[in-house]
Amino acid sequence: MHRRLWFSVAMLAAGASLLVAASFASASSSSPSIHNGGTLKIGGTGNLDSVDPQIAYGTTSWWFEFATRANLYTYPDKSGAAGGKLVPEVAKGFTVSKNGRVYTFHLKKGYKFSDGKPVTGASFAYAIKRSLNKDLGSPGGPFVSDPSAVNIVGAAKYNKGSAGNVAGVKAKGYTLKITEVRADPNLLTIMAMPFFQATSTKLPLKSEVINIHSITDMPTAGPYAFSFNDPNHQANIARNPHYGGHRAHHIAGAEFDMRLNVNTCYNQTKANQLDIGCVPPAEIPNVVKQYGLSKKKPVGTGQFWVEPAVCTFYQAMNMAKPLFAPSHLKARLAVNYAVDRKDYAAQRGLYGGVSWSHILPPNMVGSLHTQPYPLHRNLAKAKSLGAGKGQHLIYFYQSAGSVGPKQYQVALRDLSDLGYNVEGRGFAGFNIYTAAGTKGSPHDVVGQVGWCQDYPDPYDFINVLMDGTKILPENNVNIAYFNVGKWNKAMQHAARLTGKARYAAYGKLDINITKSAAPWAAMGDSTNQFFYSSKVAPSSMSYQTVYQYPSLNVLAFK
Amino acid sequence: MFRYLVRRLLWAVLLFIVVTFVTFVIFFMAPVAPERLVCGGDQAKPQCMRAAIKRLGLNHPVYYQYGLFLKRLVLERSLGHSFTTRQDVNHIVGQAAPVTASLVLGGAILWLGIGLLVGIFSALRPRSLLDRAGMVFVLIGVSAHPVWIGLIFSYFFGYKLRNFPIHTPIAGYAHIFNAPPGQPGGVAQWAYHLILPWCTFAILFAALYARMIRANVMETMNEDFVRTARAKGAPEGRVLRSHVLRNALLPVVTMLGMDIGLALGGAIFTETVYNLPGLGNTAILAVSNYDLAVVQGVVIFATLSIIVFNLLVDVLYAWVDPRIRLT
Repeated sequence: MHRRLWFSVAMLAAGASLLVAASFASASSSSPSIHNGGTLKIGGTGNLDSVDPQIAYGTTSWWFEFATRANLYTYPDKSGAAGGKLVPEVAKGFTVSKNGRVYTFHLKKGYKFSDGKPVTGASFAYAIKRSLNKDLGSPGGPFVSDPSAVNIVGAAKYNKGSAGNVAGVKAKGYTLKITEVRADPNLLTIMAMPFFQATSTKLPLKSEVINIHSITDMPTAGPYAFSFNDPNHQANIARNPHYGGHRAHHIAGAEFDMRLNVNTCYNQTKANQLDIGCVPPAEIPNVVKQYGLSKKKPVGTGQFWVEPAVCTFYQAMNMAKPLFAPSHLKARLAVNYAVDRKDYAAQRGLYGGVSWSHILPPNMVGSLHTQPYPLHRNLAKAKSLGAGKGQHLIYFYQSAGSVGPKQYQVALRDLSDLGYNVEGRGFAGFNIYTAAGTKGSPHDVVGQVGWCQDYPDPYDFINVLMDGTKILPENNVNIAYFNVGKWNKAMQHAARLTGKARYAAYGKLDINITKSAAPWAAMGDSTNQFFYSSKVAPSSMSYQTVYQYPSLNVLAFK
Repeated sequence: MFRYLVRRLLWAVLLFIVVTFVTFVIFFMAPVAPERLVCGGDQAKPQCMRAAIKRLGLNHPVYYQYGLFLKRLVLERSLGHSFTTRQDVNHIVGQAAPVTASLVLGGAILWLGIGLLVGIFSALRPRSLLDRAGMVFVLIGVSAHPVWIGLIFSYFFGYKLRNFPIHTPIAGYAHIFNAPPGQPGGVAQWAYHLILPWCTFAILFAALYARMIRANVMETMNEDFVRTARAKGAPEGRVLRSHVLRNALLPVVTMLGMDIGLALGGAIFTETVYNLPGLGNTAILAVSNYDLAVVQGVVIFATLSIIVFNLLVDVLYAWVDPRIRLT
């Protein structure tokens, strides 16, 4: 009897241990483990336009900047809406003066550059000063010296070279004070841009850092720092050994091989010689078949992902010319009904884009998920508005690349069917922006043009692209030459609002301009595609909403 | 000889000025805005572009910019700075030239070896199985594009056979000295990474050379002096070595010199497929970025290569063939 009891107890213990073991087994299979360390090899057909924090402006460059920077405020390493919310990083918090013009930031003390030096208020003041230095020529300068938006006191004067410092920026120890010419609530968002990251005074004020050979050559304060750079060929990042923040940093570093042949890069990724590589558009169906298509969560092997961009692509109608003059609203509405947005988006290739019919793209905060115009054309409705009728229309289009000429064919069909006699004029690359951006440009419509967010605020689309008070003799981005007093005022009013009221106002304004003024035929948004090797853990592939790339510091190997 | 060299050098200087000026004019004829590229492309801000125009010196007329370029080149021996990466162009060309030289010189040895073997043996046994196989190789070599050959090679030897001992890297370049961090380096890795590019690069030239050598050897074998040598009882090996090949290979020296000079300017296709950071790749990138300074740098290097190698060929020709006098 006694022996039987012992036997039962032993069996019970064995059964319990098996159950525990089984629970561990199931846990490990449902959330595959990741391991820290290893160098992520990245290959791409593009390049980094620069590694210098005040010069880098390309989306791929900002992908790396996001891993190497520390800003006053930043965006979490998360996808979806959570990734677009500003949170304190180096700043503990801030106070604003009663008139809304003076921001005082109080900084945390633990942050250090990759050379071990501490991050202080002066590190941010130097970033602003460097961005505004006329010899350096940073693309960041205009973001803090815009007379109709964020405009720091003394920024323009310093930029012209008539002052030795930016008067509106004062740093003392771990405090930073910024004074604006007039209150603009977008200062926090602008300060979260990579241009305004903590910048070491080791970086020369007037010249760009180009070649790098160690993490102390160009110290940065984020989880990683650039350890090597050979422009157009290779750039490496490595962990910042002095990092004082709380962001993840799984991989030991990353190596980016630039300007690769797309087919070779594809083979290298399949052979695990690259961890993030390329997919030639023609191979997408095969890749989806073989590896699955992941969108919000891993599907199949979790190696191929399609994520939304935050861009808007459009056909702008030139309101400075008689054909689409402000009084010819029906003609602009007719174009909006005549264009086939689905056909247009299809020219970007499989999973290359989505159709959309208003200014703010689907993933921009404040954008309403409603379509003022049909995504497939409604020619009958368009014709009923009485436009076309054999009128001569000059159409600027992108004649280089694989997408532009095809989209032009769609536009040509739609506008010809509406009754216009279309004369196409092709431009290669950025030249279309230069040509259409010159006041007095002969275009009636310019197509295959787009705009992607610089920072996650509707101002960057609505006011930047539509405010008629900003039209200059050349290099305009308002290529519809939309300049109507009523709408200019509405845009400027929205820019002064904060919080939910701001986004609601912009959402409404977007739809109202699109329906009641129709300076554009908004066409849609693009996507970003990522192809990983089988070595990368799919659970670590976190797409950062604002930077539109997977966070390098979160990525990890299986 | 001295007068000949001086005259050739003067012509070279004139050619150099014409080539660089034409490049300059073509660049400015094209409706491009390099300042937009410098300032972020389609989202460039007007303020930034105005500053970039001044910084790049684009606010001056073409002839003035060209004058500045020549002055900088002659007095400071500087090719200027890249519009897009702001790097010193001397450094860019200096980095890319050894890569292209590695590809071209290795490839030249390979194509010459294959060309000689196939050409001579085909000529010695015309219409034999060997000759017909050689001519099939020639046909494939001149017909298949290097990009296609490169992609097929990299797919099979780099990707499909990746688990076999004979596999090669799909792409990339290994520096003999000062390899970048994380990249393989040394002579063995350098050669290992260049096996496929050498083969790809050599195929077209090997085919052309084989066809030319075959024709030359066959033609020379019918010459009177060859018949005379045979009639005098010279052994066949000696006839071939001293009478046939010595005469048949003279045009090969000319072609080799010109081809190497030309290829040093950029073995564009092979470099593109295998992601080799050589002059060809640099030139393509610079053209697509409207980076005039780098385009000029590569053009100058290519022009100098062609001039120097042509000069070398002429001098070598006089040495190889005593009948030729340089005056």
